[in-house]
Amino acid sequence: MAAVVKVEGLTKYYKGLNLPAVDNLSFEIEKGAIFGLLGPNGAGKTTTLSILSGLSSFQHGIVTVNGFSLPTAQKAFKKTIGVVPQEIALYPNLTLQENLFFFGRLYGLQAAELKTTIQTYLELLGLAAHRHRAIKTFSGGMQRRANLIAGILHRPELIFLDEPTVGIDVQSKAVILEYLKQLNAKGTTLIYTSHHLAEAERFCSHILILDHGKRIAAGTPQELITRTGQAGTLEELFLHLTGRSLRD
Amino acid sequence: MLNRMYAIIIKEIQILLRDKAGLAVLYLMPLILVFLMVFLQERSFNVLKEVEIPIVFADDDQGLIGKTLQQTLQENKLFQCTLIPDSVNRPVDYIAQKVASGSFKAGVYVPAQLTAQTKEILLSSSAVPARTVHLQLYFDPAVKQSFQQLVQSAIRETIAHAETRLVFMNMREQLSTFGPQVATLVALPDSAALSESMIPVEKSFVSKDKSEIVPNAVQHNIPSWSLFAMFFIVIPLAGSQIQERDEGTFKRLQALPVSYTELLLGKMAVYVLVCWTQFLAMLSIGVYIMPLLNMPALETGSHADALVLMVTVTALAAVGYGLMVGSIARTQQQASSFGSISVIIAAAIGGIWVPVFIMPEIMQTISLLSPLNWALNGFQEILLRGGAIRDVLPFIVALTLFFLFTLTLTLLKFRLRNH
Repeated sequence: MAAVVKVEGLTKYYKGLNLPAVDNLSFEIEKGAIFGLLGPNGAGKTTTLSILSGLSSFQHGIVTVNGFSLPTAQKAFKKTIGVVPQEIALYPNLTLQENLFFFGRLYGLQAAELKTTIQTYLELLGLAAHRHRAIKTFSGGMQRRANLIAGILHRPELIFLDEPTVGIDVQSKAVILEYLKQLNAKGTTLIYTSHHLAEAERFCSHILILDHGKRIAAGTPQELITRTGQAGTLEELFLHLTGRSLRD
Repeated sequence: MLNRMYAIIIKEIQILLRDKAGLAVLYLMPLILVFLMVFLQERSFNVLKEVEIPIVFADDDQGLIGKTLQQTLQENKLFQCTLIPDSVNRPVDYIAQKVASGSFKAGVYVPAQLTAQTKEILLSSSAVPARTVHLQLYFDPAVKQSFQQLVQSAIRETIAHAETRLVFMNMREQLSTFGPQVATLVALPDSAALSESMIPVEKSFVSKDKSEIVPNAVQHNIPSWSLFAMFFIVIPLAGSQIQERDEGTFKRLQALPVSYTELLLGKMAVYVLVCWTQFLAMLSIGVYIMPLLNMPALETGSHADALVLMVTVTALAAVGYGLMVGSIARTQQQASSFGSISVIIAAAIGGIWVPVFIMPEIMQTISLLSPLNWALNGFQEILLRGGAIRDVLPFIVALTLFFLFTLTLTLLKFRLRNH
């Protein structure tokens, strides 16, 4: 399988901080993978995801995504990726349909195509009946599902998902993960961060565990668990690798 | 690109229309302000009704000066003259008490023998006898200096007329010694004749296009408060930028195949449109509503092209300022408090509230720094002096440079934030 993401010696410092948020990180992600970026708070997951999706700059290293060398502001690159931020990145006073039409048009989709795509996604994610309601009136689960749709309207080859199931009910979580699995089965590569280790263990094909911006472990969930021989689950392995001290 | 611009413009309009408080700030607040200021300043501009200063008057002289003064004050529309009741024993005390209590803004007491003594002084050919009686004026301390001067000059003028009449009367008396026919050679001028100056004075307001636009409260306040409203878009405009950053939508927008410049252009287009609708609303009020309320109608001058250009560059300057505040401020609170206070200060020093020419010299110099002052000067040039594009070119250039400066800062701040 070809690598859609190649990272070599990636280092990122935030202004005013002496310690790097990402420290000499190297890894590759193959096309069609569900790649989990895991780690405790402040490990560098979201920063890495921001860099890979072209939202953040970095000081050192070589990063290639979908054949584009980063950083880049090229629209061609942005059309190949989908970003689902951790925040509900939708306009709360606009209706779901208004939000989706807006983001869809910015992806360059024409009205007729957009209408069909939106209808399909709304039905698949159980939001068709709520299209004319303002986002601010949605429950947490509905907002997460809407947030997902807004990031994948243009059917990207690669999707970045920053904690897409955080703070939602079990049913919404199941719908989202099930739909993401379907997308992946059709060849879409998913890069995902989460604090739900049991969910990641079941969902991801590959995992990279980070701590203090550094790579701690990488492999398939099963490989990682058996490699250490000291843990029965990903969560136990995680605690073994990152320790039990509290993080800010 | 057109598809993306269309999407951005539609989204901005939808968000704006859902923000009822923002709409109230943009449209309702300036409308209330303009009505309030026009009615408050109507008297200052003195166009429709004469100002009526209530004055209490007492005449113990009963001579020419007392009678002339009473007649003048009663006939002059600037004053509302009330005579003290006949039952009052001590007129001076009565007048002082009435003025002190605020019932009257001024009081005039003409003491007994004032005319007789004045006549004596005028007739004396050698040593001028000492004056023992004086005309007494009383003022409410709350009365402005300008009103005091108005009363004083009206009284001085009347006294001068009375003195002239006394001189003429004296001449007639002297000439009558040569026979009654000789005395009639000197006509005794009446008050009306004395009021008309020997040299007639013609008053007119001059404008560049020879139109006769009369300065009035409507003509001054409509452009002033339109400008104020246009710059007040800083609050919703900066707020919308910060909201996008806070809610994460800006992050999503950055991940989309759309440039920051396109996003700014979309916002600018909508908010320039908002400024135009604000101006047209205020213009309509000036032209159509004010006359219904017995106020003069707004004259829009004879250079529509200059007006269109002036409104557009002012709108761009206001939008640029809003974008800059939105890019620099970190929170909604910072943006709304800094935005509103800075616009109020710029309006105050720019001459929106108080005309620049009555400010102290240092403030007049400082006012040149305010974009609202440049815009106001431009509008006044067109609306009051009939100026054309060439006349407002310096203001257009200044506002355009201000817009480019704020836009550059906004783009720089975006670059810094993303590195």
